[in-house]
Amino acid sequence: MDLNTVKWIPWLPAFSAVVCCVLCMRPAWRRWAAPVTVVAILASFAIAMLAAPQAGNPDIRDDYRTGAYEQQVEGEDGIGQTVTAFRWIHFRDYRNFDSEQEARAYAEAHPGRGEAEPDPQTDDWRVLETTFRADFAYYIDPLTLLMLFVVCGIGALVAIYGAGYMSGEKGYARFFGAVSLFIFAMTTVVMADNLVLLYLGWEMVGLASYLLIGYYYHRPSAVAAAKKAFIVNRIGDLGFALGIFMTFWRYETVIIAEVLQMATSGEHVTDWRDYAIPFLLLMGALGKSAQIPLYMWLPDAMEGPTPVSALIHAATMVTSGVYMIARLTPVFELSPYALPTVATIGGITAAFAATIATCQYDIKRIYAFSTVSQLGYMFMGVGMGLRYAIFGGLFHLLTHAFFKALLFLTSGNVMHGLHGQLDIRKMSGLRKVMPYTCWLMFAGCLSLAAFPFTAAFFSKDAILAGVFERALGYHGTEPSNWFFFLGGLALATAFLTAYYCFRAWFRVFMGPTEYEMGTDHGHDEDAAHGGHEDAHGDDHGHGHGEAHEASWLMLSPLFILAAGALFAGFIGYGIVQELVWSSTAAITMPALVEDTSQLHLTLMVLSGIVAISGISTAAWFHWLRRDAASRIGEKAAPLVRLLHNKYYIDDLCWACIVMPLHSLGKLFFLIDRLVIDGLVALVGLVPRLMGRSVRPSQAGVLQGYGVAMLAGLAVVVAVVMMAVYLT
Amino acid sequence: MTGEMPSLVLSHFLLTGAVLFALGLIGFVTRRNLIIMFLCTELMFQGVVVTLVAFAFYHGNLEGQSFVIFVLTIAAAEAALALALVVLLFRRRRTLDAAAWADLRG
Repeated sequence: MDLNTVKWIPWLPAFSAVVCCVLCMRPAWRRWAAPVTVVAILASFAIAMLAAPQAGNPDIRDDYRTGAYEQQVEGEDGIGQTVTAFRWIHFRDYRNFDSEQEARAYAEAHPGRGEAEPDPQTDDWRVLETTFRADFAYYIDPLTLLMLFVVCGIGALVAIYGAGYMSGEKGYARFFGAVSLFIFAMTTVVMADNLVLLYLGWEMVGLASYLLIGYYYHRPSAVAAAKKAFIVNRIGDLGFALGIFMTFWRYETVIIAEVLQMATSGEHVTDWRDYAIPFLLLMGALGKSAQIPLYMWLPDAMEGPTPVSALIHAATMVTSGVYMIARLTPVFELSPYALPTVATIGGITAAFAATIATCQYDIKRIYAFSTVSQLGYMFMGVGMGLRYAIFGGLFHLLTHAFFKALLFLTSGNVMHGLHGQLDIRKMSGLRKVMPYTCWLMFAGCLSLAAFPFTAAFFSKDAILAGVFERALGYHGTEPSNWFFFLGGLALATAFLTAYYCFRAWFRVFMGPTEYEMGTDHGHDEDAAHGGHEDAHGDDHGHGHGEAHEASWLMLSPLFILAAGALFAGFIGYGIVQELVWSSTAAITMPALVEDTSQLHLTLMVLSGIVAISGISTAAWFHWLRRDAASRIGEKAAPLVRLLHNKYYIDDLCWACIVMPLHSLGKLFFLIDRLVIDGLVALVGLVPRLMGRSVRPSQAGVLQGYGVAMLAGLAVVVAVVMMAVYLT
Repeated sequence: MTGEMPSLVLSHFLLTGAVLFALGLIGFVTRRNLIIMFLCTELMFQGVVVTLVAFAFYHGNLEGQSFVIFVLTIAAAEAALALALVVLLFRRRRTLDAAAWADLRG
């Protein structure tokens, strides 16, 4: 397949989004929204897998991978290729030169910018060049390929699942329209050739996320969650936008390949802007990828339908921050503190979110905090600045997409079967009721817990190995206690991860079979949601009161995800390593000097032990000895309450940020009412008073008007007469 | 024929017009019956017309007189219209009293 066809990857889902909007118009047409979306995403996936690998020059991949590549020709990085769909924003301006030679030399040194020509007004010479260029152009390199695999692959599976899960919903076509829009936006993000296009996609995924979190717009909590997600992301995006402005100021281009080239060319002299840019860009990544301090929106985003939680808020959109940092790693490397900051935030977020996840009762919330925690792992990986670590971070992105989508979709099955019930205290022993879901979720949990030889075992190990390589000073880095601490924190987080995910699994599927149905009986009982604290169940139900297994349409994509969650480690390790190391993400990283296989082996054994001990702890307290768990819970009640309430951070934010802003808003409202409206009323009052003074003259008596006319006439005549006699 | 009227000079005609106009005006201001008020306005009108003819005669041209013919034609049409309006107003309030129509009083 021709490489040029990759330009269709975003536009097929965009087309499908438009078609879905049309299908909304007639109820009979709506069921066609799902097939249209699925076909569009699958077609994009096929194009991505067939056409995109042809990009770039395969001869230099080996050099790239080992760090031996040296750029020979400016304007060519060789590993990726740009495909332009159409022109978008161009600004042109003259660059003036004192002499003809200088202008010609400049034009020759920068081919494609313009021809040297004399300025007709003065004696100067000038070159008409494009000073700003942002096209709908797509940059295809191995990193893009990896992301396209995740976005389109998982997207298609989730869309198939959604076709079953959402059937009978009111906004069926609206849902698929928004999913198509999301895939359009997300493929734009990962394929963008310039930062402006990337930002456009970035904002569009935010919009799609907002639309889908607020899918059940009749429920106030969903509306609030959608607004929260949108507003928190705006805070991060402000930094991202400033970062892009500053990138243009610094590099005079927003085209990523050119920026990276300048950043990696040895002639680049760093100044303060190079230190500021990564931190501004990082703000955007923190918002989108839900890291401290902008993580609060993600757990609330679970108000959306479960397929959305799986696709957008677990597998794809939230990883765009990780992708952006990986894509711009050379820019981050220019500041000595940027990548360590990324790693530190990631490590702390991972541990922080994992502790909260241990004391949540709502399955989707457990997985939401788990997502925050796993994203922290990815940040740690990309923030380490080492080949194994960044490979681990991006490999974890892939494996996480598989197992977290699987976990969310299986929890969707539970919710679907129990009419919106999500509280793990109100369900137990469901393995007999929904056997497939039970073992599918088990596969997902095994992978999340990094049980030996599942997918996440390999990816998490690669991150840990990278962290400890950095901590112990391999590959020419300085040994560092701080990174050693982060590594230890990551291991502790791995234990917590294994514990909390199996806690949920053992509670839901093991033990005696007991369950309480949720409150969603049918589509019309919207009122049942209002005020119910944990009710973010979807409107589902079939009218009968027994739990049931999901349909085959919903189960079949889960088997593929489960296969990925279990075996992607074996299959993907070498491939992803090749992809990551032969992309620009790893180009600035030191070549592998020492043989660290001993360290890797040690860490594999260690993390295997950690995972198994976490699982055993969960099995003991939540399967075999549930009474012991509740006893300990009572003894440590303050701690449990602290963790269950998420360290009261949300309440703190409410008290410290939201409430003051709210009061400020009320103050402004009062000022508007009293001062501004008062002035306006005053302006109206003056003519009204003037009118009142002359109003009695309109007596409504015809004779009166006659007299007035006569009087007027008399005055006119008198004036005329006087004028005549006086002259 | 110009000016050969020793006993009847311009000022007599002007006086007649002025008297007619004044009578109409007094009637319009003092009476409340809509038809009488309308007749009074016609009277004022005729006063003006007489003045116009008198001046035309005095100046010895026909422009004023032809203008008067037009004015009378229009006045006839306007009289038909005004009487029709009076009839309508009467039907609404069952009275011809102009004071019954004071809705726009300020």
